[in-house]
Amino acid sequence: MAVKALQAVSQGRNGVGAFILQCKRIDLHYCDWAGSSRGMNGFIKSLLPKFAAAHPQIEFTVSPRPAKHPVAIGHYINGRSKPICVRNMEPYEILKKLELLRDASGEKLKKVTKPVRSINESVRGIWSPYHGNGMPL
Amino acid sequence: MEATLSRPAARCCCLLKSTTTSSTPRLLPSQQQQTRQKSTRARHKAALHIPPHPSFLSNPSSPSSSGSTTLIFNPPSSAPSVFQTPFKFLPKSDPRRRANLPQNLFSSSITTNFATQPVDVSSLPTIFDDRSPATAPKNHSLTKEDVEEMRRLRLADPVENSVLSLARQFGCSVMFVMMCVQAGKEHRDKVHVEPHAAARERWGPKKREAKEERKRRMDMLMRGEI
Amino acid sequence: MMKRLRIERATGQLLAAHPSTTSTPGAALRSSHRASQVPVRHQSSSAVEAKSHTPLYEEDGTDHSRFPPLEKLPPNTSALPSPLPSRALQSAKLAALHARLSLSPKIPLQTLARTLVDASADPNPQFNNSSLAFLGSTIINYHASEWFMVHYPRLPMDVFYAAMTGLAGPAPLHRIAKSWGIESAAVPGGEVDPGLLQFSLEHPGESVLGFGYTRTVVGKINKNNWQRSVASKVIYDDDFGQAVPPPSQQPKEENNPAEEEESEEFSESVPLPKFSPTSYGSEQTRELSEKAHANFVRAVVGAMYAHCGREAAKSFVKAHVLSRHLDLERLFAFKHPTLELAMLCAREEFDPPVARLLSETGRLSRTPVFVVGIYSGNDKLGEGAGATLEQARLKAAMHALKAWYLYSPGERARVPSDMLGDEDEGGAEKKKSWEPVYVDIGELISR
Repeated sequence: MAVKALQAVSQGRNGVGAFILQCKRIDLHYCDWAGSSRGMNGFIKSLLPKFAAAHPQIEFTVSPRPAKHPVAIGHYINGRSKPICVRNMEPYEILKKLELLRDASGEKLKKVTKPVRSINESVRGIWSPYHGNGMPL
Repeated sequence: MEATLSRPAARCCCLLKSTTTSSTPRLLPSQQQQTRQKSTRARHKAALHIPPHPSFLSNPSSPSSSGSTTLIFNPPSSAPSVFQTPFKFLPKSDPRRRANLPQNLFSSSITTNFATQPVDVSSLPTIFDDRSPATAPKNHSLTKEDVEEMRRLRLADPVENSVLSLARQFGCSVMFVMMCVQAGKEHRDKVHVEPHAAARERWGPKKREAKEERKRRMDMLMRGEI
Repeated sequence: MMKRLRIERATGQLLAAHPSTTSTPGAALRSSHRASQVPVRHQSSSAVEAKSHTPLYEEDGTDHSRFPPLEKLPPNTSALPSPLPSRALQSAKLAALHARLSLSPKIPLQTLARTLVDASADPNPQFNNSSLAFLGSTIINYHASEWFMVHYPRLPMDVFYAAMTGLAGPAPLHRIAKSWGIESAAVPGGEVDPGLLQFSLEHPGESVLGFGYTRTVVGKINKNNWQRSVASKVIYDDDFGQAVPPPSQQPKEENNPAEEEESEEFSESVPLPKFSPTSYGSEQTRELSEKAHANFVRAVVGAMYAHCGREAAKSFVKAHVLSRHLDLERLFAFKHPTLELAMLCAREEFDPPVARLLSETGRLSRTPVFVVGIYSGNDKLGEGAGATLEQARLKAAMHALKAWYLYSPGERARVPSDMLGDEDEGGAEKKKSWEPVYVDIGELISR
């Protein structure tokens, strides 16, 4: 007789209320010996401390990976990761790559064709042929 | 839609057009200019060139447009949302009610659907519902003895004294009879379950499926899914 | 994990891995909790089997000559049920989490580490998050319920409970914890990183969460799926309208020894059933994981309240919990909408509702559409479009009822806790302009 309740779970909207940076960890791998890691080694020595201090939300791990190209791997809250090989790059190029990792959402790259994607309902509702008086032409 | 820069004749047209309509600013100067062919122009451009909605034109007949500010009233052609509370449902303390908006803007026959043309409500055809208390005149003065009598009759012979006949007899609604007295379980089984069960036995797979589908649709309707 | 365990047990290396002496002060504080069953984690058990004669093992069975530890752990760490509070300062994950949530520096990392220890991981209430979670749950539920009460004063009680569960129940809080990037440790223990959420699937702990009374017939209610009246839900049940389980979880207590027996049998190379009740992805584990994640979020709010005060906790709840999107329109399921609407109109002394056909198309076709409006007097209460007149009428009635129930005085209506800011001047200003909120007279149909 009376109203029954259905169950639903609220949907999160990052940035409405609070914003959580989606990149949670960046792994940096280098090699002490190989020439392709020269820029990476310089980056770790010179630029990384400042970058890491500016981004306390991100956990940085630095570990050697001998005889391999240097790589920066971003780990994201949605469980995905984004590896970028940074062989033969200069330290400032690597910094750009790290900023890319920081700003990424972790989602797969896809083409955005609609200007706005929202779960808010539109102000004027969904057009219906049975409502409104139309406009005589 | 074609980008026609590669075709010399079209480029001429384009140049010509830009010179003739040079007063209008070009929105995308760096991008490729897109022009219509003669075959599609009428369909895509001329047909879409329609006058603005009447509400946007100044209406000299309405008295409110004498001042500098006018109220543009162009309601959406969409089904109303449940979050638009009808005027009648607003509590007395609500400022929207206190502002007395509908009385000022529209006559009383206008509904909250923001219809631009007044609708005479009484002219709309009603949909009858037997159980709805609006359709049948009701007797609100049933006494306790009446109810006792109703109970006695119904329990004595539920087939003869059906809910409908009792409602007619006492001049009350069917719902009221059902609220006063419920027939026994045997009667309910005999009248409502057994004949249907016998009929259900004869259903083929198509009918059974159709009935199940119908029930599922009704459940979905009640949950607001369709 | 289980396969590894078998190898461990076969080699017998673990016999030396249970030192009963407690050396650190934190360990000394813990009384005899879980003295018998110490969770032991092994990172390289295959190495243990291969070099079982080498005497190089630490107390956790790791060959540290091959795998040097990243962090120098205090002795007997793995004997503890949860990481030492002092290790919170070294955890990069924890510091990142602290910064990611933009927590105030007033909240120390040790407290944040404690919020990550579920009662199932560490039964000692001085080290787990149960007290903080209780505090946080009261704050979250208070703010959510007052928000609903003020913004949707006519919600029926059942729908109100559903809305509370959908906004502040365990499921949404679990999603919030996931959206914060919380990772969980496979098995809790003293040696795991303090930045990981620690809960145990084997030993569901007990933590008192929320208010409410245990009904005397709670067993029968759960067993026979008895209906509870709304009034009794308000009096007895918790903030989400769920019956409070009895304080001592007898069935779970019974489960534990059975599982232990199972694992012991299994150590003697009896094949494990493919889906044990605690295997990953089962209904039970999912529920335990959801509970642990939800308790973590509540504990963070509790820590916020304890260290930063009421206003900070409120804005945190507002930003992370109340800002989420919940479509209240989808929470309603009706049974006799036309009848209910008639009763509503009778109660409110409106004219009885009449369904009128507004427009129609294709009556004789395969796909007709009827648009039906429900009128009370000259006012339209609702409208709906359907393929039959009956369907359209029901939809119109449901629309009208939802419009009644979902009345809102507006987004800017203030909740009572807005008036609590008494320290600063802004609070005093706010206090002046308080107007009583709209309170509905009650349920349309009471049960």
